[in-house]
Order: sequence, then structure tokens, then C-alpha cells
Amino acid sequence: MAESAPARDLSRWAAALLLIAGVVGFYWKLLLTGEYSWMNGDDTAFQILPWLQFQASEWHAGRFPLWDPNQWAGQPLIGQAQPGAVYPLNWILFLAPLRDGWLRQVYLHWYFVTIHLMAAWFAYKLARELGCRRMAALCGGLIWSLAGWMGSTDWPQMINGAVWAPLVLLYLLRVLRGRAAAASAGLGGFFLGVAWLSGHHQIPMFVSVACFGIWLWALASRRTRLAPFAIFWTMTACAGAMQILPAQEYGRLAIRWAGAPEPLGWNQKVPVDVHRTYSLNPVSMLGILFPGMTNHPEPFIGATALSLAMLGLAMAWRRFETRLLACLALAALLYALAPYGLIHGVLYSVVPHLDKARSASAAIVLFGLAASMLAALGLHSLLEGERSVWVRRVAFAAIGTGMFVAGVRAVLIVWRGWPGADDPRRLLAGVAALTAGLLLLTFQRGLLPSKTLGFALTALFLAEVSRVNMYFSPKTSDLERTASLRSLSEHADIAAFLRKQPGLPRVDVDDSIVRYNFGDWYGIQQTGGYLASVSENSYRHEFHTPWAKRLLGAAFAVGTAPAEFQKREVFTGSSGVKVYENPVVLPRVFTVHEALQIDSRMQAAGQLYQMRDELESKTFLLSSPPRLERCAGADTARILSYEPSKVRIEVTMACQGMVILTDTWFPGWEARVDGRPAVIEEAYALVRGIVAPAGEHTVELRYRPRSVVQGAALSALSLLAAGWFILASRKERLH
Amino acid sequence: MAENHHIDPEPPPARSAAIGLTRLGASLLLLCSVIALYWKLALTDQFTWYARPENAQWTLPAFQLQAAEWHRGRIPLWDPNPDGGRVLAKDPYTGSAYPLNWVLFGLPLKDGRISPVSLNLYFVLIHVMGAWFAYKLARELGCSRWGAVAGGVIFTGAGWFAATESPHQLNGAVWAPLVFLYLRRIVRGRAVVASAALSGFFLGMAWLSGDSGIPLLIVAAGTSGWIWRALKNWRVLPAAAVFLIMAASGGALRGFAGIQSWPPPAGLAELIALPGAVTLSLAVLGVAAGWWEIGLFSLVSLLIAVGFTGDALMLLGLSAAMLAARGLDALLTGDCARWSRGIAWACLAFGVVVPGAYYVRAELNGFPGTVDARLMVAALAALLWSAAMFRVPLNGRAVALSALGLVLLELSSLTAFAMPTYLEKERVATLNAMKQHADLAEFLHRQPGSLRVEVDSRLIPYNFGDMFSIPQIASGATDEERRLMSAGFHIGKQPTSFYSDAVFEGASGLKVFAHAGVSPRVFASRDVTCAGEDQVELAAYAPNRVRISARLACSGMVVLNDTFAPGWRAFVDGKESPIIVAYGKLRGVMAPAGAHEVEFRYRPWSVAAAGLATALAALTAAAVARWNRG
Repeated sequence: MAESAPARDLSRWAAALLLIAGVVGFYWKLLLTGEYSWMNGDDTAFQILPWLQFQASEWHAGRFPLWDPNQWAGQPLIGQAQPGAVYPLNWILFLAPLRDGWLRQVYLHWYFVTIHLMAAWFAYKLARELGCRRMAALCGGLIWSLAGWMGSTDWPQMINGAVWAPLVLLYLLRVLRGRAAAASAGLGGFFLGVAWLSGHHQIPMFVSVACFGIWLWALASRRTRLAPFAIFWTMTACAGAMQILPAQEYGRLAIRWAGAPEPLGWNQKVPVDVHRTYSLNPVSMLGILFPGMTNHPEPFIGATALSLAMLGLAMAWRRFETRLLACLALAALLYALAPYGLIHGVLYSVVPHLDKARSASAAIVLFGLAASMLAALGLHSLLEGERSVWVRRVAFAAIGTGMFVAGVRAVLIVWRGWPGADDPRRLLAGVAALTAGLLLLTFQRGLLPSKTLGFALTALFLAEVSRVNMYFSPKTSDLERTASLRSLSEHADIAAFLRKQPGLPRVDVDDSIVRYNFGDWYGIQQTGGYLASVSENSYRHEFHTPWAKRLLGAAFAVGTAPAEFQKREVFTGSSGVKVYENPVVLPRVFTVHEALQIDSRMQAAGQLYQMRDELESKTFLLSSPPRLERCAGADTARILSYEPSKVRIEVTMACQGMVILTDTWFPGWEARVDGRPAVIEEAYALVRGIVAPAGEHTVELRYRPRSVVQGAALSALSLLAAGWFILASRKERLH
Repeated sequence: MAENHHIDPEPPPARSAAIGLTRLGASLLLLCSVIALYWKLALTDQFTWYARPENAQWTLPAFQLQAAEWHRGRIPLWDPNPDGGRVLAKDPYTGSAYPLNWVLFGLPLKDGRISPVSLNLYFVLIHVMGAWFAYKLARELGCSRWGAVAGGVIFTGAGWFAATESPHQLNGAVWAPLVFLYLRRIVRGRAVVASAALSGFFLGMAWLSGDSGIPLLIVAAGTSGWIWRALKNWRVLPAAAVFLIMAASGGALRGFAGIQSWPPPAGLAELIALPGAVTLSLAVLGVAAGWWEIGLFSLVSLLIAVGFTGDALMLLGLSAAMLAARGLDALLTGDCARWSRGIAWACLAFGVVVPGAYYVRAELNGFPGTVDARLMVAALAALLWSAAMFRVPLNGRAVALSALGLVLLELSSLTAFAMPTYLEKERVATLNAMKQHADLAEFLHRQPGSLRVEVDSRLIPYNFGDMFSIPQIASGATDEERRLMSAGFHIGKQPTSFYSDAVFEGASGLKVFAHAGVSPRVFASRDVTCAGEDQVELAAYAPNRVRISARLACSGMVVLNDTFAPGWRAFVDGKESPIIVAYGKLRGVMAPAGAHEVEFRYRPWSVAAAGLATALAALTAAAVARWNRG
């Protein structure tokens, strides 16, 4: 190999600008035109957008959204975690100006691109920590942000959890190198905790397991001591506490639809079968090189990045970081293969709660991170002018791959006619492999300056990945492919009609017609909803029965045909969807003077059926009933004000009785009767009941979950600690 | 004692020992590796190994019957449930004489049944034993601990051992390494008689497992070794005699009643499971390192497997595991460097060709989706392995760990890969049916007279009688046989000409039909007429002991409609009386007029003698082992 002198590196500013330009330019469809959207996926349109919209409305109303009154008779918003209620980046989105009360598409697009910018920037920093030149770090950052799982996933709560992984690894590496070990451990743990705030547990869980493995190795090989280990995990627990504690509280009282035949409780493992369903088929390993060749998320990084990663592996093998990254990549890949890789089974069995991260295939995210850093190391080695026989080997391997792909396609074209096979992108992958190989070969022979090689390979990677990421994004004018997103705007007139109805009635929504979360999107309370989990008391009550609908005040139904309970047609929307009514429902607040006890929650639905004709006068509880009086006089009860986390009720009781608010009972709700604390009973084993004596009273209910308060305090403390760790780290650096 | 034989020099310790793996480390590594391979059974409660028909229909009910008997404080010798009763040890799958099974039967029951967790751990324990014994054999052959661990894991996690789910076969095979270990010591002239005794004893243990095919194969392999040795030196004959005596004594409790016809080579393709590229490359290296005799043995085993019996794959698996152990040592010590390089190239080619083929397939037919693509995992392992063999800067420990890790990776997509979960309803249909049929059994238990039941074997393919401790008659009996054998009930969906009255319907939709006119389980029979009326009834019924109260108007025969077999003895009022085989197969005993207590006891002398022989053999083996160590 010819000698090549190290090229001048980019300046810090140039690197930053190129990074921003790379990501922004890559997402030109979103940022520079109004014609595309990242929100066309079913989950995004039907579930995530309504969550974001509801929270933005609450923030603009001056309230911090903790409780979602619009789904399943009310559910903890923060406890569900996925809405991302405590993730700081989401707060910025929620605070962005609304247009006619709605989140603006442009901000949603910037929000999405910002996530990728953060990912690229953090990965750039990690690559720099690995000692890479800025050019190489830039390339690594772009690979991590735009390719693989990170580049092809559109669940924001998931990618928000993943963007912090490079920073976690960065500080972990500092610990392993003995650089400001305590401070670095604290910051690594802090960023892992921030990842937990993102809203989805899956990626933070994978990152946590990877970190734990690295820590075990580090402790066993005496690279570090126990104190940084303790600091790291304490900081993780504290920083993530604001989300972890409420989620844990909710999880214990909820059931989850995880793909198993029956919904699962907290202590029930998500079956291996589910993990198997959501795992990568081994043939998907070809998807690392060829776009679309996968049964789940894209592992694609492309021929350029793979060539660079192979070079990084070979040329920087002697560095422990390289071996660590190689192990991480391999472990993540094998984990994603679930039934085919031993790692998944063993970890699934021995790591507590890892089963709850049901999509084993998503572990490929760590493969992407490790591969991007190896690629950065590979490019760095080239830019440094290091000599290695591997450059030629990798170049020939890439050229061979390209020729093989071209050959196969040529045969198929001759045999079958153009284009030979379904996906033309595979041919382009072959061309990219060929080009990357030729570039490397040219460089190896001294015909190409290293800086040019760096730019050329980065550009080639961007060209490759542009055939994957956002490749299939439909134009908003493509009515068929944007049907999910467009459906959100079709029922505004129905929502307007329902908002005009007195008495805060609930609505049943036919989810085969209106598939999105109508309640959250329009701020209307509904009996069901498109959720991954629901509190067990709601689930056990069989909301589809007429007596449950009557209790919950479901006076209206939205659909195209009369419902079993609501039959009278009262409104037809412009979309053709109609509203049906059954006025014979209980008011949202009423009083009872008789209560009995049932033994278990499993009896609740049966008991409700037995008492279906006396629901307005009698309730049942899971605990011993409080003393209630029966009397001849009539009570009155009405809602004075209703906010998601605060409800005020005015009641006049003829004698001591129980005020029932037909909203889901859940820990964290506190009641005051005339300013004095009162116990909230779980009336009908489902909703809130407060005992009030005879006379006129004001009952106030507030959602103040201790888990959130404690979690927020811990997270705030961890933020302060992180600030202190940053100062300590800088101080040590200066020394 | 022939201690004056020529003693072969000890094999030199492998240089790879320098890499360092302590005895404890090796044990832990071996244990963890086997548990990791069988994580589905050892670490979760979602999988089962006994869903296959032969296990679910026969083995599990037989185990259940025995566990129930052990928990009642009785040693099960006689199975009273199928078609009038049978000798329990007769069928190989019962494993009634095998000590490891006794441990299983003695474990706490769950709702009166063997707990699935116990069954799973039992299965894993068999594999841990297999790995451990193979490890010991590899060590005896001079392999380093790293190599021996790899050999142990490969023996238990690959090939025949991984593909076999019949516990009696596995229990038979598990002793093979120990048999060969001590045979090897004899060949080396090390404590010849003691080694012969121990080798024979472990062969006897294999016989106790219940299976015949595998122990016979070990005998065949062992005997050929003895003959070969005797041809060279006739003085080994006393040691051979010790070997045979210990084998016969050790396995005496099982007896020879269970010898079945030579198993046909059915399912051979299923049994020849790919050992994986890494294992194969290690085994080839083992041959290249000079173990051509074992390579030859592997080849012969393969030929026997193809030509005669698929069970010979067990011997192939064992020899391949030993070769792989040696191969890893050769790699670690740098022997056979040329071969290593060649094999590395072969692995690289395999690792490239397979993804290439999948790529072409995807181009032709689209992405295969959920196709079983274990070959891709093997290709990945081969690629990584080629890198390790090319000596990408890795130290010896890293190469050893890589080898073990890649072997585990490959084997994990073979071992227990297809084990069903309880959610796969079709594949665990028999097990689910057993749960569903519990209400039928409960109903039958409540019925008086201890009548037998006939089941529709198309609807209940498993051994219903043993599973629920209910006496059963074989389906397809004539009406006369049904009457004679007290088959008062039938389980099915539709009434039959004999059973027309539906008396119970289970949750599964199956019904119990009754026929009132069947004989009681005990009755009096005589050729002459008698004016008075007899009263004969069961006073107590246990599998090995039945008590009958009889009040006979005239002298006659008291008949219990259970099958006769040698070993049953009858007592009338405490005095032994000869058993008369009534109606061609039932037990009868003559009694004079008046009230009597008749007792049938199952006390086969052969079991007592065989039990004594086995116990003596065990004591001798223990003493020999201790003395040998001293």
C-alpha cells in the first residue's frame, strides 16, 4: 500500500455545520417541502399523534398532563409511559405555538428531525471520544442517525429512548479509561436515566442490559471499582425516576396486550412465543447490506458503512474499545435473532423484566450504534494514513459483492426481463458496494487523497441510505397511502356536535370506522381507546355490556350503524359517520346510600350485571363498605368544574351517602370534602366514590400521585448532580 | 489381578493447559453451557420436552403411575391399569429400575401429578450427566479442560443426543462415555480389573435405563474392543469376565424382559442433525491431529446408522465430540497449522456461499419471511470461526472461548430449537387433553366397584389408565371380554351397541357411557351348581397386593379378573395356595365353603435376586472406585 500523509481534519464548526446539513438535507422531504410526513404509520397516526395533541392542549391550558380522561373512562397518562409525558424534548414540542388549537405539522417535522440531529450529534461525540477525526466522527454520527433501526423507526417514543445511547457509552468508556471515573459514571447513568424518560421501556432496557454487561466485564477485569458502578446505577434510577416510578405503579395495576393470547399482568412474563414473533429472521442479516431484506425493523447500514466497519474492526482491533464494540454488535445482532441466538433465551430467562421488551428485533439498534462507531474508526484509520492489508481485502470483498449482485440481477433480467426482481434497490446496493470497493482500491493505490475519500464515502453512504430511510414516505397528496393520517381530520364536525351536548357524556367509538384515538384527538371522553395497556379495574369490567355503558354514562356512539346500546340517530357527519344516542344513562356524578362488599375483582363484572337495575342506588366495593345511611330525601349532585387532573363537585346529601364520579379509580387521586381530606373508595370496583355526610358540600378530587412527586424530586436531584458531575469532570480535565 | 500388563505412557498434557482453566472453572463452564443450551427447560416454565406422541402417550403416564406409587410408599412393580395389568419393567419406556427415575418419582408432586418443572429439570440433568461423562472421557483421552468442555457440550448438545427426546434412550446413552473411559484405561493397562469392573458396572447402569438398543450398541462397541484386545493379549480375559459379570449384575434389576426387536432405522434423516460448521471443523482437526482411529470409529458408526440402526448415531456423536475436543486442543497448541488454515478457508467459503444462496433465493422468490433459516446462523458462526482460526489477533483463551461460544451458538439452533411452548396448542394437544380429561377421571374414581373403562383410542390416544390410575381395557375387545373384565364404562363421543347410557359429559365434550351388566372385579366360579349364594368383594386393592373377602356357599374358585404373571402368589386365610389361571389369563384360587380372606401378592423372586445383584454390583463398584483412587 502506498504511503499517504494524514489529511487535515475539519474544524469544529465545519463538522457541526456538516452534521446539521447532513441530517437536515437528508430530511429535505420533511423540512423543505410540505408534501411529506413521517406520521403515516398506523400507530403514529392513531395513537401517538392523539397523545401528543392532548398533551399540547393541556400545556397550552397551563396544566401538566398527568391523567388522560379521554380513554377507557380515564387512565393515568404518565403511568402509561408511552405518551412521553415527562420527556423534556416533548415539552418543547407541546409548548410550540398551536394553530387553531392543533399541533402544527411543521413543528412535528422539526421535532422528528431534531431527534435525529441529537442522535447524530451524540454519536459524533462518542466517535470523538474514541479518538476519531472529525471527518470520521461526522460519518459515524450520520450512519447511526440515518441508517439501521434508528433511521427507519418512526415511533418517536422509541427513538427518543435510543438517542441517548451514544452518550451513555461515551461516559462509560471514560470510566473504563479511568478518566474522572466517578463523574463519568454519574453522567453516563444520568443519560441512561434520561433515556428512560423517553416513554418507551424497550430501548432503554436493551441499553441498560448492555451497560450492565460492560460493567460486569469491567469489574471482573478490574478496569473499574465498585463505587463508579454504584454511582452509575443510582444516577440512572434517579434520573429516570419521574417516569419509572409512575410506570411501575401503573404497570402493577394494569394489564397489557403484548401479543400473547391473553392480556398480561405485571407478574406474568411476556411469553417467548411473542419474542419469537417479533424477532429477526436470520435471513434478515442480509438486510444489513440490502435494503428491505428483513421481516422486522431495518438492520440496513449499507455497503459503505459495512466496509468501513470491517476496516475499523481489522485496523483498530488492538484497541479494547474496538473489541468492546464488536462484542456489542454481535451480541445485539444475536439477541435480535431471538430463537436462533442463544443470548436472547438466556437473558430473557435470567434478567428480571427483560421479557417486557417484547420486540427482540429492536435490539438491532445497538448493532447500528456499534457498527457506526466501528465505521468511524475505520474511516479514521484511513484518514490517518494507516497501512493495512485489510484495505485491499475489504475493497475486493466489496467489489466481489457488487459484482455478485450485478451478476445475479443480470441473469434474472435476461431470464425474466426488466427489472429481474422486485426491489431495484438491491441492485443499487450492489452498485454502492462496487463503488465503495473501487474507492478503497483507488485510495489504497495512492490515487485518492484521504480527505476526498472521506467525503466520497460519506456521500456514498448518504446516497445508499436515501434508498431506505424515508424512501417509501408517501406524498400527502397520495390519498390511499396517507389514509390513516387523513382520517384524523374527517370527524371534526362530529366532535363539535358532541362537545355541545350537556352533562359531559361519554362516547363509544366504533374502532373499525374511526380507528384513531378519537377521544384524545378531539378532547372527548370515550369508553375505549387504542392503547397498549389499561388499568385492570377497567379491563375486568367488560365495557361492551349495556350496564357498564349505563354506569359510565356512554350516551353516544360514533359509527355507521346503530349500536346495541345507542340506537337513536342524532347526527350525521360530513364523512358519513353518524352519532347515535341512548339518553338513559347515569349522570357522570350521582349518589348512593347502600354498599356491599365483593371478594375479588374477578367478580366485579358479574356483580355489575346482578345489580344492573339498581346501579343508581347501590354500589359494591372490594373492601369493607363505609357506613352509609338510607333516608327518604333526594340528593343532588353536579360537576362544578372538570379538568383532567382536577374535578370539583357540588352535592347536597339528604343523609350520609357516597358521591360517585364515574371516572376510573386509581391510586394518586386525592379527595377533599369541604377542604377536609376524604378517602376515595373504588366504587363498583371501578370508579371513584367519596363518602359525604348530610348537607351541602363541595367535593374536590385531584390527581397528585406520590410516585410522580417522588420521581420528579429524584429526577431534579439527578439533574443537579449531573451539573455537578459536569463541573467536576471539567475541573479534572483542566488539571 | 492383571496389573503387570504393559502400561502405555500417559498422554502428554495438552499445551493448551497453559491457557488456564481450573477444574472448578471447567465444571462451572460445562454446567453453565448445558443449562444455556437447555435454557428453555432449565430457566423457563413455558416449554416442554414430552409433547411428542411417544412421550406424552406412554412415557408420561408410566412416570405418573410410578410417581404416585412411590408417594404412597410402594415400590411399583406391577401396573394394574392396562388391560388386566402387566409387569411394569416389561416396557422400556417405564424406566422403573433406573435410579435417576426414582429421584424424579420422589420429587414433590403438584396436585397429585409430577410437576412439569421436575420433568424439565430431570431432562436437563440427563444432559448435564451426559456432558460431564463425556468431559471425563475427553480428559481420559488426554484433552485439555477447554477441549474436554467443548467435547462434553458437543456430545450432549449435538447430533443424536440433541435430537432424541425419549428419556429411556438418553438414560441408556448417558453412560456410554464412562463405559468407554474405563475400557480405555484397560487398554492402557491401568488398574485393569478395577477398570473392567467399573466399565461393566456403568454398562449395567445403561441397561437399567430401560432401553435395549443403546446398551446393546455399547456392548457391541465394547465387545469388539475386548476381542481386539484379547487377540493381542489373552490375559485380558479375566478382566473381560469381570466386565461381563459387573454389566450383568449392574443391569440385573432391569432384567432382560424388555429386550425389544432391533430398532429399525426409521427417522434417520431426522436424527442425522447437522452438528454445525464449527463442530465439524474441530472434529476434522481432531482427525488431522492424529486421532484417525476415532475418526474410523465415527465412520463405522455412521455406516451402522445408515445400514442398521439410527441409534448408532449416538456412537457417532460421542466419537465426534471427542474428536472435536482434540481438534480444539490442536488449534490451541498450534498443531496442524496447515489443516487449520485449510479448514478456516472452508469455513469462510461456507460463510459466504450460504448468504449468497439466500440472497439468490430472495431475489428469485422475494424475502422468505419466517422461513427456518438456521443455516444462516451456521454461516455466521462459520464466518466468525474462520476469523478466529485465521488467528486474527486473539489469544489462546479468546480462541477457546470463541470456539465454545460458537459451538453453543450453532447448537442452540439445533438443541431444543423446536421444543414446543404450551401456547402451541396443536403441538401440545395431548398434554392439554390430559388436563381436560381430569373431570372424566374424577367421575370414574367416584364410581363403586372399581370397574374398568374402555376408551376410544382415536380420541384419547394416551395411556389414560396409568395417567389417572384407572383400570382400563384395551379398545376393540369383544362384548364377552368386556363383561368378563368388568369394563363397565366407555369414554367416547357416541354411544356404542354395548355402551348406550351416557352418564357423564366432561368439559372436553367427551362422554362416559355405562353398561350395567358386567362382571364384578372378583367373583366365585365353579363347575358344579351350588344352592347358596356367594359373597365375594374386594377388601383392599393395591397394584402389588390385593385382598378379597369371600364367603362361599360351596367350595369353588375365587377369581380376580386381573392378568396372571409369574411372581404372583395367592394366600387363603394366610396359607399359600396355588394360583389357577382362570379363563386363560386371570388369577384364581380355590377356596372351601365358608368365609375366607384371599390375598394376592406380587413378589417375583427374580426382582429380589436382581435387586440384590444390582446392589452388590453398586457396592463393588463403589469399593473398587475408592480403592482405585487410593
